[in-house]
Formats: sequence, C-alpha cells, structure tokens
Amino acid sequence: MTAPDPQPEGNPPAPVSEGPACVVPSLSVVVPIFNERDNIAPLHEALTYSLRALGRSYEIVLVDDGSTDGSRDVMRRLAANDPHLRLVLFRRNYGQTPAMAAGFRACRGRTIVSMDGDLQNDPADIGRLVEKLEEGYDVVCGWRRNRQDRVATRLLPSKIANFLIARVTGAHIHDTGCSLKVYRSWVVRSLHLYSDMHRFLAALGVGLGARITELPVRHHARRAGVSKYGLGRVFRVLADLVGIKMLIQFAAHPIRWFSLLALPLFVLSTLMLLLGFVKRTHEGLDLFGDFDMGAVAAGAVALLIAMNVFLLGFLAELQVKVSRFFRKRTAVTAREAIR
Amino acid sequence: MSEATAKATGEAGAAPAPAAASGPLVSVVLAITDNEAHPRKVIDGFGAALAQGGYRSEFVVVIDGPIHRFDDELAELATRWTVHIVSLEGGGLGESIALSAGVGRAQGELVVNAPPYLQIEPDDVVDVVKALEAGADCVATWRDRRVDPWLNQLQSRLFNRMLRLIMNAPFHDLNSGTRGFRRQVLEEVAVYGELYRFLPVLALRQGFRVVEVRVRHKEEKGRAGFYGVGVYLRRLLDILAITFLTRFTQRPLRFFGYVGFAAALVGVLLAVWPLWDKLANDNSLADRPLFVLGAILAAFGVQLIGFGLIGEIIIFTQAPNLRDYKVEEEVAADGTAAVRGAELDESAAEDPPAVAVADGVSATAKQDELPVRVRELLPGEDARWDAYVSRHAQGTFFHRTGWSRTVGEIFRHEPHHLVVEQGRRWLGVLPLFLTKSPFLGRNLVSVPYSVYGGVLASDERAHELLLARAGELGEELSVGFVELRHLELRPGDRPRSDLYVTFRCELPDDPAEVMKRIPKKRRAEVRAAREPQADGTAKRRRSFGIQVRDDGSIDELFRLFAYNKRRLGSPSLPKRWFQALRDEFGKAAVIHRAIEPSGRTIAAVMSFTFKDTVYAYYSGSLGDVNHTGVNNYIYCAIMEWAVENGYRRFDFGRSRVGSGPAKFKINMGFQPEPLHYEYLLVGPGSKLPEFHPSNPKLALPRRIWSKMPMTLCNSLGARLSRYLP
Repeated sequence: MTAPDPQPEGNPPAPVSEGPACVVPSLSVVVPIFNERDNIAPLHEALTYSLRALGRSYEIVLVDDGSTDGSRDVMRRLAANDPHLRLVLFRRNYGQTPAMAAGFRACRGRTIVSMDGDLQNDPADIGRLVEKLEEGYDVVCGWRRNRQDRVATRLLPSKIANFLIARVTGAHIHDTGCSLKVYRSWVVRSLHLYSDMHRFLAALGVGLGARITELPVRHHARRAGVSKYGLGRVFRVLADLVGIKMLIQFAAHPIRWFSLLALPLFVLSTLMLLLGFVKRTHEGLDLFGDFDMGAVAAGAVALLIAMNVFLLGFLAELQVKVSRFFRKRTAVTAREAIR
Repeated sequence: MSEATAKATGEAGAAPAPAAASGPLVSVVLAITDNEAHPRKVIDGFGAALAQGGYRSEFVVVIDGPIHRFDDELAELATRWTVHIVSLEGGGLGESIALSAGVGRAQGELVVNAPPYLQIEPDDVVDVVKALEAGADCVATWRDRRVDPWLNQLQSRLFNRMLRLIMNAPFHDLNSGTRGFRRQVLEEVAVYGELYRFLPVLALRQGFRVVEVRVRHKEEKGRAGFYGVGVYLRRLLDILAITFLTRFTQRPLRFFGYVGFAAALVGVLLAVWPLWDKLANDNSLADRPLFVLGAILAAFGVQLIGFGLIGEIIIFTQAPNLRDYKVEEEVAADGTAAVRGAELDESAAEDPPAVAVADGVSATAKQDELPVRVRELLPGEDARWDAYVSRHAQGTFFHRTGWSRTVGEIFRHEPHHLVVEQGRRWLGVLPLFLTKSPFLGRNLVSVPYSVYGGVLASDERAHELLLARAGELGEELSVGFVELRHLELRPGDRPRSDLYVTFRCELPDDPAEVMKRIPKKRRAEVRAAREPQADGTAKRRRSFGIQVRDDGSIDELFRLFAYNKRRLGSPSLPKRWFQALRDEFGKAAVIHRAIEPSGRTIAAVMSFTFKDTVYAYYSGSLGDVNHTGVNNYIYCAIMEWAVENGYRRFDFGRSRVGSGPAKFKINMGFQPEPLHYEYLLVGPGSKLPEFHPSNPKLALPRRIWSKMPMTLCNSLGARLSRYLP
C-alpha cells in the first residue's frame, strides 16, 4: 500500500497533447459496469468526446462487475481500439463499492472521476467539476438537482438517506448517492472502500480533513437497461450511518465513543441502585432500610455491562493504536492544513 | 518438509493407461494421515479412469507424519503412474496443510483432492474433471445413493441440512472428500485446521464458480456408529466460525447493531411498566422478574452494539489489507489482455475435434481406442451441448439447453440429460426429464412440452449406448416408460405411437412464392383477409384488411392461446412459461399477431427460430373471426416473414391424426409426415400412454373443461400443466 500523495496540486497541469498511453494520465475516469451492454458504447463515445475537449491526457477505467449480459465483450471490443481504455474484469458480481475500489486501484491519474455506467450522469459535466476541484477543493460531488427517477422507490429513500448522512456526518452534501464525483488522488488512495462505503465517500473524506464541495450536474433518465436499486437498502444504510459517524468523529479515540455508549448505562445503574437502596417513608428517606431486590439486580447488571462497554472501548483504542491508518490520516490532515 | 519424488514413468506399466496422453494434466492429491489408507486402489482406479477419459494424470501423495507402511506400495505404483511423494516431517499437521503442501508439488492446472481410500466409483472422477473443464473453479461431489451404514448417512445428512440452513450454501454433501479445484482456488482461498471441509463454501463466497456433481458412492471402510463427542463439538464450532467468517465480517455493525438494538428495545419495553409502577405507586420491583429480564436485555443490547462497533473499527483499520473482491483479468491500455484462467473453458467449449486436431492423426487414432462412456450432463457444459445440437443434422430447437432450462425452471421436472463420449469427444446426446404425474405416472420424457426430442448421435453405437443407458436410468428411477419424441426414424425396433403427424415444408426463395403454393381456395381466403377492408359486392368476397406484425406481446399471446385451449377442452400452459421462453430465447422466440383495422388483436402465434427453420408453435385466435380467414393468413404471413429473414424451412408443428388442426394444415397444402415417437417400456406391465385427447374416456372431462369460466381454467391449467408434459 502506498502512502497518499498529498502534494499540492493547485495549478492545473499544462494541457498534454495526445501522447502514448503509457504516460501517466492526468485524469482518470472510473466507471463500474454491471449489465449495461447497451449503454457502454454510447457512454464510451460521450466520455471520449468530453474528455478530448478538456485537452489533457486521460484514461477511462471500466470495471466489469461480473456482468452476464455480454457487456464484457462490448468492453473488450472497445478496448482493442482505444488505448485510453483500461478494463478491470471481476469474476462475479461483487457490488458497486468493490467495483469502485478496484477501479480506484487500477487508475493512475492525479485527478480521479467516478461515475455510473448507466448514462444517467452526463460526461459533459466532468470539465466543470474538475475546474471546481482546481479552485482548491479535494472532493467535488455532483448534485443531481432535478432527478429523473421514479419517486417512491428511489427518490424518497435517497432524500431521507442524504438528509441523515448530511446531518450525522457533517458533510453538507445534498446528494451523496450521485456517483459523479471528482477527487484528488490522495483522497481516494487513503480511503479503502469496502462493503457499501461508496455512499459515504464524502463523509469519510471529511474525516480525513478533505475540503469538500458540490456542484449541480445534469441527470438523465435511463436510456437502456434496468435500475438496480430498491427500497431495501435504507435499513442497512442506517446501520452504516452509525458506524460511519463513529469512524469519522471518534476514530482517533474510540474510547470516547464507547464512553458515550456506557454513560447512559452508568447513570441508569446509579439510579437503579438508589431506587433499590433508598426507601421513602413517612419520616423522610430511609437508607438501607428495606432493599428492593429487583431494582438492585437491574442496577448491578447495568453497572456490569457499562464497565464492559467501557473496556471494549479500551480494546478499540488498542486496535486503532496498532494500525497505521490513523497515523497517516493525521499526517495527511496536518500537511494539508499547513498548505 | 522433505521431499522424495519417485520415478516419473508412464509407459512401462501394464495398465491400459497411458495410451492417450494428449489431454490436459490432472493432478490428484491424496493425503495419508493414518494407517487407514489404500492408495493402490485409488491410484490405479483414478489413473485408469482418467486415462480412459483422455487425460494425463499425476498423483501427489502427501504423507503426514512418520508413516512408512505404504512405502513399498507407492514405489510399486510409481512404476505405472507418475507419483510424487511429499512427506511432512513431524506429522499430525492436518488435512489443510497436507493439501496445500500437495498442491505446491502438483503441476497440473486441474487438481483433484481425494481421500486415500476409494470413496467414489473411480470412473466418476472423470466427471469431476470434466466439470472443471466446463468452466467450474471448484467442484464439490455429492455421493448420491450412499452405501455406508444408515447411521453415518443420517449424521451426514443432518450436518449438511444444518449447513444449508445456516449458511445458505447449496451443497448436499460437504463431507465427501473428493473435490476438484482449479489450482488458483487453492492458492487464493486460505484454509486452516478443519476448514478444508468447507472449501467449496469459502470458494463460493470469494466469487469462484462452484458446482456440485453427483457421483456414485463406494465406501471401502464402513465404520458405523458415532464419533466421539469432541468431533461433533468441533464440527459445530467450525460451522459457527464459518458462518461468522462468511456472513458478518463485512459490516459487523449491521448484524450486531440490529440484534443489539432489538434486544435493547424489547428490554426497555419490558422494564418500563414495572418501573413506572414503582415510581408512581411505590410497588416493589422485587417480585417482578420481567423487570429484571428487561433490564438485562437492555444492557445486553448496548453491549452487543459495542461489539458491533469494535468489529467495525477492526474492519476499517484493516481495510487496506482486505480485498473482498477478485479481479479475474485486467486489460491494459494497449488492448492486450493478460488472460488468466479463461482460456481453458473456451477450448473445452469448442468441442470434440479439439483434441484430435491438436495432435493430428496419431491422436485421432488414440481417441478411437479409448472406451466409450455414457454419463449425465455436467453443470457448465450447456454451451458444448448446444454446439453439438446445432451441428447435428437432426438437432431441433427443443434439444437446446435453453428449452431444458425453461422446463426445469417453470415445471420443476428433474433433468437427466445424457452424454455419450469417447475420451473427450462427444458422440451423442439425449435430453431426458423425469416427469411425475398422477395421470401418466413417473416417466422419462425427451423432451417435455415439445414435439421433437430424443437421441442425437454421431453413430449407431452411440445411439444404442444412449438408449441402453436411458433404459437403465429408467429402471433406477423406477419409471413406467421412456418416451423419445423422435422426428425421424431411428435404427432399431421399439414400440411406437402413431398418434401424431407433423407438417413441414421447404420455403421458397421469394416471399411472393409463398402465396402461390397455397391451394386456390385458401389463397382466396388469405387474400380476403389481407386486402383493405371493403364490403363485398356481388362479385367479390368481403375483405377485412387484417395486418400481421411480429411485435406481439406475451399478454396477447397468452390470452388467445388460453382461450383456444379451453375451447378445445385442454388446460393451458401458464403465462410464466411463455414469459420464460421469451426471456430465454429473446429474438429466437417471435410472436406474430394479426390485427383488425379496429386495432383489436385477433390471432397470435409464437414461433421459434433455430438453424434454418421457423417453428410455428403456440397459437391462438378469437373464436368469432374464423370467417375472416385470419388463421390461414397469419401462417402465410409467418412463412413470408421467414423467407424475408432468410429461413429455409417452415415447421407447422404436430397434430393428432384426423383432428381439426391436422385437416386445417392439410388444407393449407401441407403433407402429413409420420412422427416416430418411440417408447422404452421399462416398468412392469407398462404400456403406451393412453392419456391423450383422442381417448374417448376423456371426452366428458374435456367438455366440462371447455364450459368452465376462463379464470378458473387459467389458474387450474397452470397447475395441471406440470402433470401433462
């Protein structure tokens, strides 16, 4: 694993003429593909057109997430004729995040663009996003202002999820679900995506100290193929949200988060014990006069588990201390701050 | 680890083995962990079977510990086969380590791991290898019809049932020690301890293609009874460990958070009322067990959430080291592909002469010396089957695996497709389905719901072998008869049914010719149906301006088809069936529809296209439109469509001799051709099926059926059609 490269990239690199593809490109576009046979060729065409217009060297990384509809053959055919195209092919369908992660690993550019393979994002927006990035941001998220999806199954859950994510993580992004995003490569290289993490990329970026902004982008209705999202994800997103919150806010000192969890139990156990030992009589309060075993037992259990949770926090602290991730994170953040 | 490689010779031996050493190399890894081993039987058995299957073989025997009992035996075996011996110093390292040591020594791309005693029929090891060649990365075996003591079977069955339940793993026999792997699987899936048992499950989780192959069981050492308590306990713990490893490691909080939150919520709900009672009314909590239970649950829930969080932290901090996906291949910018693993399947799919061509004449000669063998179709061989069917002159649309898949999916009949092969060359195929029906009993049918089926063979011997095996299979499955829906006459003499005739014709080169071939009277009807609407004058007939287009929908077809079926008094097929056919065959399943000028669809036909033939198969029309000649016209239009799209033959489908549809087809100018439906009567006292619409006994039920309301017919028919293959 390579260390992130936090070099300042304030000045836009000089436009590079069409050179051989082995030169490290300045822009990498990562597109996960899952059963998008009919969309790939138009997508490739549109991407090529708008990336050429930017006048800098580029590469397109298509990640085939185990398509079964022959997308792979289409991709191979395109790759045979376009030196800018690189393919990463999965054995089976792993999901969007692994596909993104694999794409990020494969790409070499200093500026990285991620987008969907279903043509709902418009490649023509890439130029504006990159410009915005070069104004001095680390992540620029696309914001699909007027979305073209069916309301009930896609728009509403997504609105709720975005609201929660923004509130909880502090990344004030309207549309975390939009795949069209532009990153500096160091952000992408420091984040190791797993499971459904792509949804929280921006939030994790906040945790890393990246400067994040958003820009409205165009959004088209699906041209071909079927949408692969449903309502069932909402609940999983909620659980993930709690985890993410902890990770970005307390990752450096998880014991605090665990203390937060243990604290109500402590309070509760104290109250229970008081309730168990103190009895209100006509003469006032009677200490130890008459036990209420039920309350005492509940209080004891709560106390025990509060201690347990607190100690779990200690374990978490140990885990964080031995891992290199957070050391690097602080280094990156510090260097970025100085710049 | 010390390594002693025995002599690597092949030719010296007396065994028939090394005759055809042209195929790919298969490495068989055996781990000997105790004195209970019979390497001779395994090596001789597997070696001969693999050689007969057209493979080269090598054996890697891993000896775990100071076991010297087999030294002489192995030395002797090494004169006949390529045998490598790896002895692990110290010993007692367990199967997982022995396996990986053996794989390290093995040279083949395909690795078979087997216990050091004969657990399965040696011939069946070839099936395992073939499944690997057909594209599987890992092959688990399923000892179907086991021969070990019932107690062992019961335990094993319980174990596997539990696994299926807990882990959702589609395997029936994880205890079976014979497995096939591609080398890559063993290099990438890390196993330790007793986890080797779960290798197929782990491989599946990591994205490898894992299939299960049925093999015949042959237990050499029948050790009946129970194992020690420790064994069961270890198994149980293994299952738990695997479950956790495969299920909850990705996002621990999703599981722990969910359970924890639920526990906390229940706990609070339990505790809140007694607490209120205490605070408000000063009722003691001492004799309220629910309160204590609630408090414990709530606290426990919080703790669970804590565990989830800690899991989350561990995963997050370790994420750089975890890669939970496997890249099969990367294609670099210059378009050259670094292909890994993929080549093998393609060469396997390409089919028979692949081997022969490679080595020229000598290899062909060797091929011919190999024994011929009949086996069931393995998972992953569909493409090869389809290639065979489309090359074979008698191959029809209904022989294709697409049809079989759809039949299996919609009607849940059990496929028992047979392949006859010599070495690695296919000589014939026979699609078979086991159908069970209260009307017809248990039978093997080739192929259900179709009009054609039966044996496709390259020569007469293969044909005989397939039929013999089909008969045996029929006996094993205790069926009544094996029905072979042959279109053409096949060699041999078997009971036949002359109930049906079929109608086919060659198509002309020019669409305009189609009309000319239709007898005069029908031609006038077709013209009347086609020409723009006009009321009949004294001279001309009425014309109706009906149009035929090839954009019919499943809904329309099903509505008309079901309507027709009910009118004839037979149950319709379910709508799902048509939908599934459409999904499976795409453009090869065309629906033509006839539209009145008012926009109403009055007739629809689903046709299939295969090779140079168009099969007009499912049809339906409204009852009140007969006078328009639409039924003649739609078929005429389909034939024209076929000519325009370059098809050379038209298949009008079968009809019962003397039935209305048969007359209709004859009137359209078609000649009836006898069908050669043949039967192997297997079961005692079995005879040709009598349950067909011509049977006078069925006249009354058919009348009743045709009077029932449409919705009832459709829902009942959908269920009944499973039993009327």
